[in-house]
Amino acid sequence: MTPLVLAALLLLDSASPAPETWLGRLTIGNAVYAVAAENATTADGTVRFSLRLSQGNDARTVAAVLSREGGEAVVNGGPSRPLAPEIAASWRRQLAGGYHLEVSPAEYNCRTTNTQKVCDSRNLVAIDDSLSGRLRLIYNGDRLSGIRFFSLAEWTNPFLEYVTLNLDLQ
Amino acid sequence: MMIAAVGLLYVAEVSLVGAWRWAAVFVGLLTLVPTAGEPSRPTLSHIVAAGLLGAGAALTMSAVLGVLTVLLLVPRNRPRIAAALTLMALGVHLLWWRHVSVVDPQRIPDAVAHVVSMLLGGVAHVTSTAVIIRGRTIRFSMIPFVTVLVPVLVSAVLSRPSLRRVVVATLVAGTVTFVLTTVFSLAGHVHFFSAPWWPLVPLGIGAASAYLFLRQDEAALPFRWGVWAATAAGISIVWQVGFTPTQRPLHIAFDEAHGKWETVEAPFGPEVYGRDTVYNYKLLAQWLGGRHTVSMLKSHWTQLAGDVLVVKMPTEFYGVDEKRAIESFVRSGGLLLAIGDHTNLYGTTSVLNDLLSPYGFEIEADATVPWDGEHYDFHPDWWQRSRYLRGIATIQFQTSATIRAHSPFVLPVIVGDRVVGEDAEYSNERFFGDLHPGPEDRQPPLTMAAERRYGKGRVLVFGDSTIFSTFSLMSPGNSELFQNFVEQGTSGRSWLRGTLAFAVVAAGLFFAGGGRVVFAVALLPLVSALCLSAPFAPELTRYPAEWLEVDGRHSHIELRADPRGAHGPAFDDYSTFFAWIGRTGALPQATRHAYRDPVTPTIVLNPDQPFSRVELDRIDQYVRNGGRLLVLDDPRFAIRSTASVLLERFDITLRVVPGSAGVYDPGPPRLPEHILALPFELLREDRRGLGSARVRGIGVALVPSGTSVSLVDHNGTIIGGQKVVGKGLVAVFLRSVAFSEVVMGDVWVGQEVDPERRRLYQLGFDLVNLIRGKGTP
Repeated sequence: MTPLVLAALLLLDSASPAPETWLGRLTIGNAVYAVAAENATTADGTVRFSLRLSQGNDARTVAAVLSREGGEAVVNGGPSRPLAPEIAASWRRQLAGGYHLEVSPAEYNCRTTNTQKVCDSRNLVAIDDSLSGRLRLIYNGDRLSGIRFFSLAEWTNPFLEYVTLNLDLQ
Repeated sequence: MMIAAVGLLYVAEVSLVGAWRWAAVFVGLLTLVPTAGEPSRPTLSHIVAAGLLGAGAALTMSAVLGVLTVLLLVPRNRPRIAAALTLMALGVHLLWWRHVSVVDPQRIPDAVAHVVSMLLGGVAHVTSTAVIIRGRTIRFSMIPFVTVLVPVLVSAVLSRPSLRRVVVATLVAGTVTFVLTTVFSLAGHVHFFSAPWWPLVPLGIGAASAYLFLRQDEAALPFRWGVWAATAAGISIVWQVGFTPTQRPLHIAFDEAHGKWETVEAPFGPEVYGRDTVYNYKLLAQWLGGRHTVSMLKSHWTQLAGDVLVVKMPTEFYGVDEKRAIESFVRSGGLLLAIGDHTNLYGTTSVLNDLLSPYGFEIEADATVPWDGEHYDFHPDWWQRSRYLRGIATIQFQTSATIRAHSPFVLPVIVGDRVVGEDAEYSNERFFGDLHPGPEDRQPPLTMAAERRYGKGRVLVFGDSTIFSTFSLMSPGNSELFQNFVEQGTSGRSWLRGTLAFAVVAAGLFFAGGGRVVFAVALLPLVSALCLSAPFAPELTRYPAEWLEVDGRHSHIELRADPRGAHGPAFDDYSTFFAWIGRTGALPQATRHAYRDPVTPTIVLNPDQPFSRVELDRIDQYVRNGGRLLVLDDPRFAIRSTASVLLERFDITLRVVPGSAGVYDPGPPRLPEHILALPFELLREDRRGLGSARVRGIGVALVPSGTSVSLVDHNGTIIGGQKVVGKGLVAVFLRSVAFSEVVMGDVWVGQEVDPERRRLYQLGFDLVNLIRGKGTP
């Protein structure tokens, strides 16, 4: 599947419900990046996902189509390539569940305000084998509407600097 | 005779540090005593001339210039003066050998600047015109020329120009210099210990020795050299014996009532982490408790008991009653050990100075910055040694404050010569300045520890609290220094010593039949220094505890334990692992004399030094008699490792085999399983996804055989095993880099430890506990 076809699929699938758009910011030390992510699920269960990370004119992108059979992705405008089955399944599961983070509720400490429920991870959460941090999930009703992640330099952190990722559902 | 003259020069050099400066001045005074058969004795004019010469030379550091002038004015005796100048040059060389004798083309400008500053430089804060050469301030003024020429001319026009009179005048000048410097010090203009008056003393004594010993009519010398040398040696030995360190258990009290800095009550163990758990004196108190009685003063006091009061980084001022109680405590024989730190951090210097001012001490609100590099390692030379440095080869300072004295009774204990004192900058974090040596900084020598006798007791002041913190207490030299502080600081005056010294002097007088005492006394510093540095200094006795030794003779490790800045090759830095041994309950000690006691487990870490047959026999006996040995090594160091030689003794072989690593074409960014990690992965510059394999199986693994298998890596390669040998155990772990600072992190860590890192810590604890006989790896 070429990037063009992939993009067309992402843009023209009229059967899909309204896509979810997440906007936010990623910081690594003093460097700040804008983050925009979009995902939508079609009637047949296929998940289309795109991510754009930008700082000035510099942008890095990922676009992926994730089906029950597997997935393909385009990274930084390169050729489309198949995703490893376990990665495709994992992404699909996470996106279909609204960034379902596969963390047991028992590992979160939740409190409810007037309109929101805020859940903080009790311990460090490893989102990758080389990146651990603290995670805050913000819910409007039952719907995940905000994600806050930070990692300190002394934790498992390949950047050896304070890093954060803030995403809000638009 | 030349040898004797050089010896005297060394004596003078010794006099630069500690009490021996007094001896040097004393020598100068006694030289004025006329000798039998000496036709003329110094007159008042000579003494005045000497005073002028000394004052001028001292204030300008231009003694060498003065002697050159003398050489021009007194054409006779040129060979003798040339000899004197040679000796002086040797003295200067010895004094500044670190700077002058380094054969490094890049350092030559430094050395030249240093020599120029010695020849022409004035006193900091007194002269103002200066140039800066490679960061070193060289102050110029007319004072050197005026103050040197005038006294030399005075000497020259006195009744009969006599080299001898000039020499005598020079020696008297030493005394005047000392008094002047003291006055300057008391007035607060010149740092007492760093005032540059002291080169005059060896120079003057060098001239005197050359003059006295190079005479043609040596037979007329009115003393018996050998007898006096023996007498001096006797005095020195007796003197040193009187300073036998305290061996009895002491009562040591820590002041916990005036601030929580470096508290002894902090938690420390395998469960709690973060700065508070290691930046404390918890381990210090635990270690001292093995021998002494340790207590805490948690409330304000009106009287004190015990032997040692440790005041460390107080942040709350002491009340009048408390200060009175401390003064009474010291006067009646107690040791006040006051420990401060750099840059008046949190106001502690102000509090300490308020407490210490009656005793003549003041801690500067500054930070010592090494002249070279980032860290200051103090390697005491033989002439820098004192009894407080017994058994210590190196002290790794972690940014000390310097100490200034307002009393001539204060004596330096540790004098650094490659650091500058940089004033606090209160607008910066931790009040550090730019941490770079510069012309505005106080120049060396600088004092980091000083003592004073007060009544029957002592006051000891030290400027670096951090080195006794839990994370670095057991680094080489630190606990030994504290042990010396309490054991030597509580040693009292000995009437027996005084009586014996008097008897030795009387015997010397009797056998030598008169003459000058001066030469005997002059030998005292030299012999004493030698006594201190080696044969008569009793070895430090390790306090009872559960010790775990690291073989410092064969291991290739760095144990800096200073979290500030880079520590050099991070693969070689095991300071965190070393400090973490303390979390298991054992006390780590790096020693060059391991394997002596089978009860004490031992770690040899990345060994790269050869094991001699004798050493292998000793280690073999150690293990067979119950010793438990852990060998840590890594395939990265296989090319230099000597571990296989050691392990062969126990029929354990190490094989270097190909590992599973490969080389690949770079692929697109690696895609993580968790989608939240995806943005971070896109920004990773240190790794990429894998493209096509170019070659596989090119890694290196180090595999033991002859042991049971206890640990394997992710490929299943054996990396850990153990073997029972006799009554003991040999364990190996062949991924030692895992415990290096680059993987373990530094000692600060953070309160919340990453789960993966905690598992790594636990692996380290398990290995340590294995040789402690308390677990499995």
